Amino acid sequence: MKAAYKSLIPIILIFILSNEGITQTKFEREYGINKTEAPKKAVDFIDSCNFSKKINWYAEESQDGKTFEAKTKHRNHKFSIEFDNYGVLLDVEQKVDFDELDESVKTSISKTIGDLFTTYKVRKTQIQWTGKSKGLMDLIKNGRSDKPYTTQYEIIVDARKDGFSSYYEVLLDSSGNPLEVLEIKQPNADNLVF
Amino acid sequence: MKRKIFFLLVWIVSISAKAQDNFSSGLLPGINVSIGLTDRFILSNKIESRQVILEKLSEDMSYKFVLMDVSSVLSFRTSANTRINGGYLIRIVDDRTLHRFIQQFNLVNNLDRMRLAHRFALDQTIGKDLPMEFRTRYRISLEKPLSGEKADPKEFYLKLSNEYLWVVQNKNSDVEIRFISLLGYTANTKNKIEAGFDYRFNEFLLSTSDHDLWINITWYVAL
Repeated sequence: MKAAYKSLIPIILIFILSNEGITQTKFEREYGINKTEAPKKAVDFIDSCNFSKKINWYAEESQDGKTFEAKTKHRNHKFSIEFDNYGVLLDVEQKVDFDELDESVKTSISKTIGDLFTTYKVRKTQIQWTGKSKGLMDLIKNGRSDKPYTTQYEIIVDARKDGFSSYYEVLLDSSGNPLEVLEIKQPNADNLVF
Repeated sequence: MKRKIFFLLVWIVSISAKAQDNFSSGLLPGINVSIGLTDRFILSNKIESRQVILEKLSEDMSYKFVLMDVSSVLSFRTSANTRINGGYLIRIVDDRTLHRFIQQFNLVNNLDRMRLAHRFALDQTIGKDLPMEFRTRYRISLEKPLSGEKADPKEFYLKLSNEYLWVVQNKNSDVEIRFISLLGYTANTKNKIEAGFDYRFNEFLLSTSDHDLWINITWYVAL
């Protein structure tokens, strides 16, 4: 039996040794945190929104720094509210069904994405709002505001281009014009495939 | 403590088996090294061994190196979340060598805070003086990060799998069912390790069944 356990030692040792340098490499990481670990200013903003559903807090670390996100469900939609390390509100994202968008926006986005790819299927639609916190608070509560703010759309599509399909993130302005198109690299799935 | 948990699991599995059933338990260590050849092609190479520690519950408790599998599978990405794979496995068991040919189709869905994978597979095994064995397999796997929305570097995840195998050899057929529960750790984008329990229930259609409980530890390397 001891011999059997010994046979595991090489795998564990090689794994540990080969990962000695991990701390030096670039990485992005999102993990759940307690509300108390988030910046006070961010917590105060979320408290003032008076959400009725549970709020989950996350921290995201990357080579660009650390941000915090509060996620909840409100008005039957998923909301994600992002703050910087000091609790300054960065943006608000609301997940919607593509069909919920205004008809004119939908037509414009469909034309833009249709021009970019041979075929596509919309997998996820998010409305992104940026601006001053009072305007964003109105948008969270009522979906509208008379204060200045900027709207963008983030659409995840499963699309075919140059004969090959992949997932893409398309960022569009409020009129449906493309701002950025990124191919989403799928995370390594060797452990689920082989 | 870990030893107690292991023997508790062994006990639970063994009492669920009929008195005349066979039971064995041991280790299933393996290393999977994947080499990205192009954007669409991956060559996955795996070496895995099977070592029995316990047979027929407490009657025989002796170490036995059972077999060694070495495989190489070429994987082609057909779309954003599907792959077809074809490969070859050589099995060294006692003084015999078996050859297995593998065909697979994989679908991996990224859901909210988890990944769900389906694997449909066929394989054919040949060996000297052995009739060819045909297997049809379906496996469903769920990967659930223990923190955040995906298993980022330096984070743990849970992987649960359930696999069904239909085995045909020499006009006889059998069904095998596997339940796998693993704790995984993503060290970085190129290395992850999984360890846990792999319970297999085979000779399902025969009067005497086989129950195996393996401690599975696999290191996945992506080059």
